[in-house]
Amino acid sequence: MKLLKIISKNFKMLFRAKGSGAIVLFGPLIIILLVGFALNKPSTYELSIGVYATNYNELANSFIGELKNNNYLIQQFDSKEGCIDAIKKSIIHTCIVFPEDFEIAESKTNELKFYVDYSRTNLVYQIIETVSSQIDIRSSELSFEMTNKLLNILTNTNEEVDADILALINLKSATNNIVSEIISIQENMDSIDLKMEETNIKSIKSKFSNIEPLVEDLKDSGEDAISEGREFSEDQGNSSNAGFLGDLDDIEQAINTTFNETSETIKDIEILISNASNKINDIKTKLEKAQKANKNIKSSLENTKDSLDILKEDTNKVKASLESINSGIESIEVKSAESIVSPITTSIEPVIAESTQLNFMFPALLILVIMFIGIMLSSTLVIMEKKSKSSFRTFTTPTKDSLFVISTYITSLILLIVQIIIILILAYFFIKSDLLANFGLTSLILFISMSLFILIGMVIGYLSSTQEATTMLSIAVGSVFLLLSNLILPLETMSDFIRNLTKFNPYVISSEILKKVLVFNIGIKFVIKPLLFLTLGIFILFILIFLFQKISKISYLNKMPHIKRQGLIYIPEDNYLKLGKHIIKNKEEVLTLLKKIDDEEFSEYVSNNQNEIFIWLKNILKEKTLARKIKTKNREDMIKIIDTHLKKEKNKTEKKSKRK
Amino acid sequence: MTDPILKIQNVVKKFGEKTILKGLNFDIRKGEIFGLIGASGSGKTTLLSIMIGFVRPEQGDVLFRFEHLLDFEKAMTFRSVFKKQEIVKKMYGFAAQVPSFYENLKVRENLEFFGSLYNLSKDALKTNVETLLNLMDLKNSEDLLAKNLSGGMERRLDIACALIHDPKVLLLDEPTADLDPVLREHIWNLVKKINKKGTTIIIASHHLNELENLCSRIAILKKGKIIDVASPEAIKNKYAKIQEIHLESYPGNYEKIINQLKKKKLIDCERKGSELIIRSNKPQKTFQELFPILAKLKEEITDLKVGKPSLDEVFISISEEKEEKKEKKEHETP
Repeated sequence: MKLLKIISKNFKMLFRAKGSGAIVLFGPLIIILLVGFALNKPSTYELSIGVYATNYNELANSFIGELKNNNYLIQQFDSKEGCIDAIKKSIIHTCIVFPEDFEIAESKTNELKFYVDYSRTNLVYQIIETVSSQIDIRSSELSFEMTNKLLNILTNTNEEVDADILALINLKSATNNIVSEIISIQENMDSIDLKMEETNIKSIKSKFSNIEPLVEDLKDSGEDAISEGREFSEDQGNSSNAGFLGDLDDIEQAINTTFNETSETIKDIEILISNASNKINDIKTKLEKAQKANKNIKSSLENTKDSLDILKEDTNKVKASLESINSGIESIEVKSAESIVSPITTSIEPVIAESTQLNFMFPALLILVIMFIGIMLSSTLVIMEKKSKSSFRTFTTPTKDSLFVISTYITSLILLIVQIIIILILAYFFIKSDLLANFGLTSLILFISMSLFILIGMVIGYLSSTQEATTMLSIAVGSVFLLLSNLILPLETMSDFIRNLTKFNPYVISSEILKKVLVFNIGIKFVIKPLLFLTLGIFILFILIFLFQKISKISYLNKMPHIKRQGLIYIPEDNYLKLGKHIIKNKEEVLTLLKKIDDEEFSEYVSNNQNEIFIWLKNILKEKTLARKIKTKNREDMIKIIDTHLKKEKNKTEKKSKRK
Repeated sequence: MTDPILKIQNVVKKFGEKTILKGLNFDIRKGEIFGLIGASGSGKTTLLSIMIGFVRPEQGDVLFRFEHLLDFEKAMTFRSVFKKQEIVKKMYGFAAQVPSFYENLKVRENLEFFGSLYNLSKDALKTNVETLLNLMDLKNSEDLLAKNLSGGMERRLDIACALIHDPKVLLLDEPTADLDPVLREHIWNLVKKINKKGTTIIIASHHLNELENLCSRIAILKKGKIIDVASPEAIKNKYAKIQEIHLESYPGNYEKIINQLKKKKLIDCERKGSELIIRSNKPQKTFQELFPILAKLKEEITDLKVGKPSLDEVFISISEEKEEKKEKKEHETP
């Protein structure tokens, strides 16, 4: 009953507070609506790109055309400075400056300079990524063309090398044949015996010369034999001997003839031998020449063979080299230009059906709304209660402190739930988000997230001392959570330390698990750990809140006797102004006293050397202006000044209360 | 003499090194209007906070009479306010220096809300709200948001909120601060009405003259000590050694009269409106000095009153007396 009454009171307070009702109710809806309009488009960016080139040649224009084809808004500039200025003026998002003589040439690097506005941190990487990718596409096309050309040349070379290897094989074979022939020739030549046995013509001659005496001896012997025959015949005297003697004559004649002929023959032979000797000498000479020539030929053949061997080796080397080239060429597995230019192609396949950015960002945005509204709403409720005039009265009632904590939590939760339901309904119909697919888990995550951020807001409320401080602290905490999340900068771009911190960022944890459940439709077992972590956070925050509430209450009650009441400043007794026997507690009493005392008494308290009223007004009441005004005045003037001052103060108070 | 409803026993309270309350001992009687007077910073609010159990003293205790409806034995016992907070809160109503309610709730809503926090039944709450709206003259403003109320109405709403659960004891801390005399009078009349219904009322205020006619007893708190607890009259009798002569004369050339009196060493005199007030501890002698002066200045007496000074002036005289004694002591000490 009490709880319901407090919650009901919270609602009344909230809706009656200036502007807060409207902000609390319509704030998140407006945020979602605006974000929806902003992001409800396919995932491309309407980027304005400025380009500048000294010469808009075919190559530059091909790049520009590529960008235009991808729906980028292209603005051409006449100068680099103009292009850069346009970024500063937010006319364009990025400026691409083409290099001078932008063309594809040997040993020429064409650097395209991107000028971006890094102050637009959230957009700059997107710009670099998207525009660079378009430039890369064109660059790849050029690479493709050049690689294709190169590959054709390589293919041709391969074929030619193949032919050359074949020729080399033939050449090698021919060389081998030649070498064989040479060897054969050498062998044949070796087999030619051009050596001539030393023909001893002289011995022949001498032997022939020996033949003559022998022939003469023979003739003599014959003649002797014939003489003896004759003698013999004569001795026998017989008629029969006549034949014999005739024969002997014949023989003698024959011997003479033969002798003559033999002599002649010998002479002829000697001539012939002499001629033969000459001929032999000629032949010998010729043979010697032939031998020399043979030797030279053999030497030449040997040299030729050696040369051919070298040629063979070189041929082998060339062949091996060509074979190596060929095998090198053949070993290139990827021979298509496309594969070389883009050995790895990426294709982005969405794990869920492609949709608008809002669909993907919806969980993060939903948690964003929960975070900011949860923190701000609960912190506002707490500080409203804390700073409310009623704080003291509530302490006097027999109501447990925890009841106010719980009622604030429930009030915030109810409001947040209503808002989230409205947002979810809108999301269901307009973003076509499939919220019902994992409704139970989605609800659980939303409930835990809401509780967590509400409790964070309550801690902020209890820690703050003013409404302004609460608002600032709430925004600051929300902003820190937001900055340390993926929504503005990718976590991967942050330092390790910060990245580790983000693991404890409730916004990151909540939005990640909601995304997993809402977008990827995964089950509870994949999100149980972060859910338990958030739940633990809720328990810790509850404990902290009870602790802070206790401290806050003790601090309030301890300060009570010393609080400055609106419009009145209490002066501790020790700081009363004591003028003689008069005790002055406030300005009114100063005026009364000044009217009461005479100038003589006045001079006891105020003189050129000392002005106790001035010191008191200045140091105790801190009325420096009034103190300065009365510093050098006489009693009458002082009365007038203080009187006027009090009247003005009274008028102001009256005006204030009238306004009230 | 009625029974005490509260017993303040040897209460000592310190804030840091400074001792705010230095061993206070006194009782509050059932059904009385008890005034707690003291200068600002004398510890009145601290004492009230201790009485209701909000602030714990370093020493001492505050006991309340445990009123058990059925058990007579128990009803006669006293319990510490620091141990039975639930009962104490139901027993007390507290209107602090600054009105305490929800500014964004209407007058009636405030009363209903605070009533609901005391677990009042629907009927009791309705009755109490109606009674208080009428009693506090807030019936015509019941649908106004509290933030739109005037100073006097705020104060009345605050007291109404303190009374919503029909407490036995009502503590009022400076209930007429910031209010004009008419509104102050209105509040005091309300206090009397509430007291007539049987509610014990403890008022801390520095409007001593107003308490004089309201309180049955008064405690004078000065620098953390109770100087005296007695009825206003008894206090005045005890401390007011000087008497005030209120003179009205024609043509009323009071400056001249004052100058003449000062020559006779009667320096404690002042003009207050149409009166000349002369303070003296020997009024007979003063008259002897005064009449010849009036005759000399041809002043015709139109009104002449002799009486004790107001409680306010008694309080100041007590303060001065103490100061003088202190100074004297300091001078005597080498």
